Amino acid sequence: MSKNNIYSFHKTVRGHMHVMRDMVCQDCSASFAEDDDLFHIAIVADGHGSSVCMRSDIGSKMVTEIAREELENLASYILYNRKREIDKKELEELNSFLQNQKSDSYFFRIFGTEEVSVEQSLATEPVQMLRENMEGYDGFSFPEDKEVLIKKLTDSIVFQWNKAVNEHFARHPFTEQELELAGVYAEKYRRKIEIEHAYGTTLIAALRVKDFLILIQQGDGRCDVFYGNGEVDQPIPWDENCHENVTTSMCDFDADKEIRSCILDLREREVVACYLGTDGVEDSYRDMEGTHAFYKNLSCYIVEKGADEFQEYLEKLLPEFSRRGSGDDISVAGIVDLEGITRLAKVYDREIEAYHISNIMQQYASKKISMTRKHKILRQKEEAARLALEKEQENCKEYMEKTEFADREKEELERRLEQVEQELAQTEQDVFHIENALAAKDRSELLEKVADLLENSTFLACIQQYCEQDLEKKKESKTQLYEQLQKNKKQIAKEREKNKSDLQRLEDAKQKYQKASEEFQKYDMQYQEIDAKCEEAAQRLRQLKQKPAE
Amino acid sequence: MNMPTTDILGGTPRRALNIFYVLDTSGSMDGIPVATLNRAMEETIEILKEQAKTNADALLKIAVLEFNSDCRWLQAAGPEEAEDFMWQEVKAGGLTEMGAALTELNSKLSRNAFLSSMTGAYLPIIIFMSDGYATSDYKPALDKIRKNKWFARAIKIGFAMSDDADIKMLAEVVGNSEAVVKTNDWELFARLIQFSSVTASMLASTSRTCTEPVTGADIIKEAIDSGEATEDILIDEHVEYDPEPEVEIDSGDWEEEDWD
Repeated sequence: MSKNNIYSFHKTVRGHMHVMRDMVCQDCSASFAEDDDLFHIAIVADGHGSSVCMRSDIGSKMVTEIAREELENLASYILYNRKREIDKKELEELNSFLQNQKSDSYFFRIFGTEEVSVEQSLATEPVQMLRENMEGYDGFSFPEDKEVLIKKLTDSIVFQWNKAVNEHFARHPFTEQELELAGVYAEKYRRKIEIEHAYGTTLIAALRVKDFLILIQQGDGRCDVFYGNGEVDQPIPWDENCHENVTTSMCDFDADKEIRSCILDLREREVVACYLGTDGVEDSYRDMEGTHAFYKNLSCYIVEKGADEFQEYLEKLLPEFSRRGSGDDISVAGIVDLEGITRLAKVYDREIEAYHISNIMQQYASKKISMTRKHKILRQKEEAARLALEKEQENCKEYMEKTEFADREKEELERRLEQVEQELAQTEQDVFHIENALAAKDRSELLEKVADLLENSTFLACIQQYCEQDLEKKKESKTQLYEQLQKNKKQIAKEREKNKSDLQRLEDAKQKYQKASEEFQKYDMQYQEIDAKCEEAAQRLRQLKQKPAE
Repeated sequence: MNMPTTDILGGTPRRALNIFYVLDTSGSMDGIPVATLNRAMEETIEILKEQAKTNADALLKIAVLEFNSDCRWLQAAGPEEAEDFMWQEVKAGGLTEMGAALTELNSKLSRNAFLSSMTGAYLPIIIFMSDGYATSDYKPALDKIRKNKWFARAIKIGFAMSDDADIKMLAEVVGNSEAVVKTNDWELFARLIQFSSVTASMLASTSRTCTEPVTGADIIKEAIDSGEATEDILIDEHVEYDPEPEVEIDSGDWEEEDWD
């Protein structure tokens, strides 16, 4: 962590797909903080994945090292007005090297003609030489100076990289195994043509020095700059030649012309963070808002946990991020103003949540599209089943009425039968009691008592006779009712048999309707739930947009 | 301060794995063929639903384009998740307008159409079935769709049903004669379309971890090797056809998200 609260970092992880395919990591990154915190550097490079670029991992390392060295030189120049020196020996080496270059090489085009000499390109002072002697001159005070300096910087990086690549190739010519991988390029490589292609890589680099943020980029990947007012943008002009899976590259013939740059004056606009990332980051998101949210998350983590834990976080986060996202190698680097991002952390926190909620809403919207046809079909099925049931009910209407009448009659008969049975039981009990009384041992005593009362000893016999007659009547009534009930039941069974198929159809229709209705209700509930969740998410999103930063 | 309430890795949706079926429902399919097709598709969808439940890496989606004199998507709004997909019976009738089907398919193989997805998609799987000859020139449409990167890199399989099927046309459409199955046996078709759908979807969602990309020919070979079918289903290797131009598939940078 630096004294002035400026923190720079970098991290590269091998992509999940590269791990699974046993491919090397083709990304590289670097960061540097000057001891006195006078300047900071961050760099990422993405070696091309194509099999014809089989040395892109070496190419990305080379460009990272070269860019770092060149940015340090530039920082020294800006800070101390210290120029890059090229001594005689180096010049001789360069000239000797150039003489061996092929006519189609970058070197030949740039330096093999009379137009520009190595000395002119690398060693001459800026046009505004005299200004350099002005007190406090930072090399950037005049717009044209900036242009010249940046041009010299990018030219030098392109030159150094091409030189390093060619030197590497001279020491390590392509092996047969490598040439087999090279496909259509194999023949060219054999003839030592466009060998730089094998080392192809992108580059994004940032230098924060004095009041400036200097950004350069060749190829794809993104540089997110976060400002003091909470805004974020990608100030390096985009190259329209970077599209689909095509990118411009350090190995391009006209890389010195393609390479883009941008200088931000921090006195005019406060920059709180600058993050560089290879395309493995942006490819994990559906849009650039996702990339911004990713870097905002990093900012929040730095503020919350500090630099040491942040490095551990990156160690753990990035491999998993690659696995779940693009699968590609991932490199991130950054130069962060800790005070600035601390101020904005809560705003970022809210914006990250808003982004995630908008993602969730999209997922729900997509799910709803997926569910709509089935929802409609199930509703139609339920409606069709209901209509079919109504039709069957209509078909069975007359029969239903008859059956209902017979059912009611049956119920009445059963009720009456039950009543008679109860009465019968009571009478039987009475007869039983009387018989018992007549058979009692103390019958004479009883008779005497009754005779005293009724003066007729045959009274009990009369009661008995009456009861027995009543019993007979009730038995007869029960038999009649029972027969009637049996007849009624037979009638119902006959009717049912007669309408069996109609009834079966009705029963089937009832079951089908029940099933269709249950199925639709269940799915409709899920469908409505998605709707409700979508609305809930939309409401939360509105709240987040309205809620002022605390 | 609080950490972001939402983990940066949280809620990352699964990548979509789209299976497209392009099915000939022309008049010659009337009767047993279309009945078997309906049954086979219904069963295939059910199997895919089961498979989708266990696939944690991919969100399986299905799209069906039937073509005869015209063409029609069963799910006009876009591919549907397997769990939501309902097969609706197709009927046979009309001509075999393969060109129209390819044009329609081409228009939907785009991130702006059926392949819009939160976090990109796996290479799609496209299964063609036809029992006849195209009734008009399909070549202009084929030339166009071959330029579609999604189509070029898709896993493509063709079913040439009946002796009247145009094997050459199907070989050209799927780009490789070894990715075409030829048979008269509709029951075999029913088994193989299930096998191909399941195997292709399994391999496609893991293809990013394989050294070599999966092709339709691999799926057919797998069907033969596993005993699902015999070599009789392969078409004559001497059949002359215009093969698909080679595309560079084995690229380390997987940037299909940038495709149209």
